[in-house]
Amino acid sequence: MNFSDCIYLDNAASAPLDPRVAARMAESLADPLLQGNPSSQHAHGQRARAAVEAARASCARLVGVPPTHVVFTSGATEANNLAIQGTVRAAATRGRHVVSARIEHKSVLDPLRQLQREGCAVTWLECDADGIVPPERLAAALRPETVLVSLMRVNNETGVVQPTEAYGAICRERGVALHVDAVQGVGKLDCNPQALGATLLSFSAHKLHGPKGIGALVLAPAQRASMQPLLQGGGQEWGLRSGTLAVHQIIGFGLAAELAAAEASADGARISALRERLWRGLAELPGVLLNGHPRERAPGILNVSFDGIDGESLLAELPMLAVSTGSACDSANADGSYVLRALGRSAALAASSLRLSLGRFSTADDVDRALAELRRAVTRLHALAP
Amino acid sequence: MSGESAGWSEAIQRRFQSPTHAWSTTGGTPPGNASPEDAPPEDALTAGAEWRCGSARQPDTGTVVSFRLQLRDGRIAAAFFRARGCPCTIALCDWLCEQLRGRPIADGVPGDPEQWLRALAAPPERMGRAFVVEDALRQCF
Repeated sequence: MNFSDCIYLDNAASAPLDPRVAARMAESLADPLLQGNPSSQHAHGQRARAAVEAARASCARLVGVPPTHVVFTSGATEANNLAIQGTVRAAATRGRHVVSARIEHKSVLDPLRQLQREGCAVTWLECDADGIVPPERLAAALRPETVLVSLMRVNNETGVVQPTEAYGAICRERGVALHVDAVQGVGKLDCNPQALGATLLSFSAHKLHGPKGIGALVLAPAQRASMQPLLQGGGQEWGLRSGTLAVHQIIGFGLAAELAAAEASADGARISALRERLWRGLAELPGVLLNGHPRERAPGILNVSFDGIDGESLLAELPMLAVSTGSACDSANADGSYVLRALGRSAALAASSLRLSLGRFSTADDVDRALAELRRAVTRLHALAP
Repeated sequence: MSGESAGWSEAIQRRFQSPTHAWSTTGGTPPGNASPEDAPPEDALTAGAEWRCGSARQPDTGTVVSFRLQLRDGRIAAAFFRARGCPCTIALCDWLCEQLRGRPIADGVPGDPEQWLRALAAPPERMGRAFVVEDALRQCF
């Protein structure tokens, strides 16, 4: 197999590092004046610190907040864990109830399940058949002892955009903190926490064509006092996230954020058009079903089921196509996507689904070649079936 | 895709990519060596003792398997399959059809699912799919 012929349609799992970001990071790694610890007081440390703060400002501008609202973490998984565990543990004397949804990412579900095992009550909201969690279900689920709502901006598997502004309005009225996992939304659509009514918002660099291993939790300084840190030690990030800052990764994150802010509009239009091109081709194949709302979706994600075809065989027929079945973080689950099951898909249909996700470097040729591969694979597998 | 399925054995990959005993439902040149004249009739069960048929399904995984065995003089002259399932399921069906050719029908199903998976170097986690294949094949005997 010639790797260079592979078609990458898995940007929702990880968006390829932008060469401009890679170059900037390489420069920073080789720069002798950026080798200091940003927490050190000497010139080396302060130079590294300045680079970190410049990147922080870029990340902050992307979501429309002051730089002091951005706390760097090792990624969105850590940011989600910090938001959820940090809030709930700190609020234990006030109440122990959280509202979330069954279609959240595992990095939200699993910390909540851990808190459930420790005695916290969690209400899991169901989505509708389009993959949207209706705001009225949130309103009905809130209790006097609710301390946190965690509902994502864009579902990572279906690409469906959630009515976050409505959630924010409900939470604001009821005085409950709202955490938004905005990993698939930042850089693609409005994710300003104030506009959304979000108290806490998570995102990561590698979904923005930045490096893996670095993310951010966005929260107002006043909110920090209501949080318990996960990591304790040097007191970095206002005591909320101890640990030496990964300067080169933060620099990469900062540039990725700048590029996303500058190019989001053009990228979004182009990627949406490519997604439509892909869907038009897929819709011609027998047994293809779109998962999720047809219009309320982020630009690049398409999740389709192939009725009458085994998902593993479909993937085995597509060695040249880099796509996901379900979430990359849940790729070990052979029973099919829990998100698609929540939308009402059968286990078999959920297991026969692919998530195709486009990004900044996707082209019309990628789409056309992917369609040719999918047509070939679907035709052959249908021919084998009883 | 799960870690186990990302590494199918060479035997499974080869038979999945080029099964020689599958019968295409879309007409044209069938995959493998079967010719249109060998096409098993759709009403094989009522066409006499020349054909034995069997099918089974597993709703949870969507696996569906069917076999058609052509008999001559008490032996299996030809064996065909159709399957919707994972690469291991398809490879297993193809391999079994090969094992069945020339075998006396009275000898029954050759071996058991555990032996079949070993023969194809398939992961033991696929035993459930192998049971569906076995169920379909047993109906032919």
